[in-house]
Amino acid sequence: MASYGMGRKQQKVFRSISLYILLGIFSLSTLFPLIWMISTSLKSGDVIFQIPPQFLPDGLHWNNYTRAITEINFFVLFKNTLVITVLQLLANVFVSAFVAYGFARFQFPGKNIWFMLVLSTIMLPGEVTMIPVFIGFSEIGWSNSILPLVIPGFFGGAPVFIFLLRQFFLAVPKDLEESAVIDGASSFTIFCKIFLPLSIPALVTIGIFSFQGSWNDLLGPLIYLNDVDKFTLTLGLSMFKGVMKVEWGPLMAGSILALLPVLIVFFMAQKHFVEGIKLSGIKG
Amino acid sequence: MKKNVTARFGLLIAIMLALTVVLAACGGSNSSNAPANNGKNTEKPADKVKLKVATWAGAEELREFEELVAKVNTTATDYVIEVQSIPADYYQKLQTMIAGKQSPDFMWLSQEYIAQYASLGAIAPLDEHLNGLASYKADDYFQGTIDVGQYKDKLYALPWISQPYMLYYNQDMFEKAGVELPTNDWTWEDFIAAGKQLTKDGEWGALLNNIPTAMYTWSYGGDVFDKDGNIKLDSPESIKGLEMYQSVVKSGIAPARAQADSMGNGDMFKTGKVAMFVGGAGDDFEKSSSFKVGMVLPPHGTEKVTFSWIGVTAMASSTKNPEIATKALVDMTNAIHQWKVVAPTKSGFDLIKTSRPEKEYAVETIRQASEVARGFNNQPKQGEIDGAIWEKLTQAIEKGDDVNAAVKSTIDKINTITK
Repeated sequence: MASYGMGRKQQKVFRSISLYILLGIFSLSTLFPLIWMISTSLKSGDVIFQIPPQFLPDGLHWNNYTRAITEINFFVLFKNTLVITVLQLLANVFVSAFVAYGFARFQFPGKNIWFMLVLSTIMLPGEVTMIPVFIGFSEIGWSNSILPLVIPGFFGGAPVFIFLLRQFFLAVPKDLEESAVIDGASSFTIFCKIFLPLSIPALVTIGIFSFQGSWNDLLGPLIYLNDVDKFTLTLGLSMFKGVMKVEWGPLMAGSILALLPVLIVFFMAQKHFVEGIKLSGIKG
Repeated sequence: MKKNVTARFGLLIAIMLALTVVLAACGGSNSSNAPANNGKNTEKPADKVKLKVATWAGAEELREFEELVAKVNTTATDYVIEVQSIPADYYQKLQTMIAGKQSPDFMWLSQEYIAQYASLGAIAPLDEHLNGLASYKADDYFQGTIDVGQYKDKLYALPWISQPYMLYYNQDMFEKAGVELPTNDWTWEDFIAAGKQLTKDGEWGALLNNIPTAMYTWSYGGDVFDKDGNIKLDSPESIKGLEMYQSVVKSGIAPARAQADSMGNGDMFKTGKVAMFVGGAGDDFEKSSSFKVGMVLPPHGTEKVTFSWIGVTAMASSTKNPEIATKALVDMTNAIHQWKVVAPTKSGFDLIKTSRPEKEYAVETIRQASEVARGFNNQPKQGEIDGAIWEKLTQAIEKGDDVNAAVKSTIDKINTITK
């Protein structure tokens, strides 16, 4: 009947439009902080906290970006951050996978006790070990260098990632391994040719977590690095947050520039990341 | 498909590694572009004592400080100072360095840390080396600022900034309500009376959150601790001050603390929601407000006094040549007095006229405030004591509890902390 109004096609269109409007509203609410960050990065200092707030009240102040780049020597800090992040990423992904493979596939005395010990380090807050570890690294002359930040990872990876990858490796069928053994493959070959390729989604997920964690880490670089030209981006950006005054414009401009690599890595690896979350059951 | 995925993953890693290598290679030659030169004097002979100063200064402030230190270095014959920037979690990093025997020779401190660091032996007394040092002029400092550097009758730190708390007022709101403008001689009673006239729908007479509870006790001659560290909170003078605090709260001239905090204390004054605000003499209300701003001494009881936020530089006890280090500390501090406002010295005070011209209208008032400004008589466990005062005293008084009972419970708590 005509009084019932819309036909099936119209109903479908109406439903789609409603869905898109709803999704649009949710997307905007999620994007709002990012949009606000971009708008703040283009405001002059005087109008940032103007009431009522305005998006771009007095033109585009690109000089916030210039200040963010020149005042904290952005590119040197970017390079320092990248070096630390990539080295930590390699240690976290490959060394953790190597250790996890050992726990998942080898039998050795006290295996469960060792694994429990590794897990127990997850429970230990970093603040508790910070000073003794700092003293230790100072004694061997590693303070004011990136060595304490990257080298430990190469001696065992990160416990959380070891745990996750061990669970993932336990699910790999033994038949694949046995076939490879019959073909004459060594344990290391099996790890490289069977376990690593099969675990790419999990490795990418761990890689993204590691990248994000290292890129945004403040405390580690703060404790170990003393010279301004060895600082990372998070330390550089903190310079805009003074005791008396916060320079919001350059701080937001610098934060956006620092955020870009994380976004790029995330979008490049997005597909595997989602797959990895499905497989490993973890998310950020 | 799998091969394709592997190839892309490999490519991502390869790109990142390549970038790291390229940037690392570029980095070496770029280090000379680092902000200023960390205060390093490029012509340092081998026999100069090398000293390091830790600062929380960031970005522009850091660059200015490095330039200042570089200038000090050029005139120094026996030392060279290097600046160490700690841009975040300042005290955490400082304490870690001290624990790891990597302490910088000098460190910026906020006044409340001096007693703690001195009692732990992290910083050294300066008196012995200051004696006979012509560049150090004790009489030039405003008394309240040099007092905060004292612990057990020894001087541990030299102040480089002092921000006395002032009573800012919105002149337009006063004139509109036909209320007489505040003066330097205002008592707490005058403050309450004017506040009542200015409080109406959506507008308040004053904002109290910034005023330290101890300041009320000082204004009647009381205190939390005396200079020897004995509790003075239960003296009649202190009780009188705290009762006045409760009268101010009860008068209803100020918004509730939580409400003011959520609306941003300073912002409420800037946006014309409150007529009077107690804040540091260096606050930028003159520039950031659209109304005419005035400034006087905070109200008083029997004594004119105000709190001051005081920044100091202390010398580490681990410094290898304390005599030369003390000389360097005095030179550097004297130079900072020509940079930071409000200076803690009489000779450096007038700098405010040129570096903050918008404050010129109130220079004499700020000078008067500096003369009566002071910090707390800080104790080694000041952080915990401040927590006890907030929990047992400030909150109880604001809730309307009996002042004597609140004082007793605060003292009990302080005693358990200091035991």
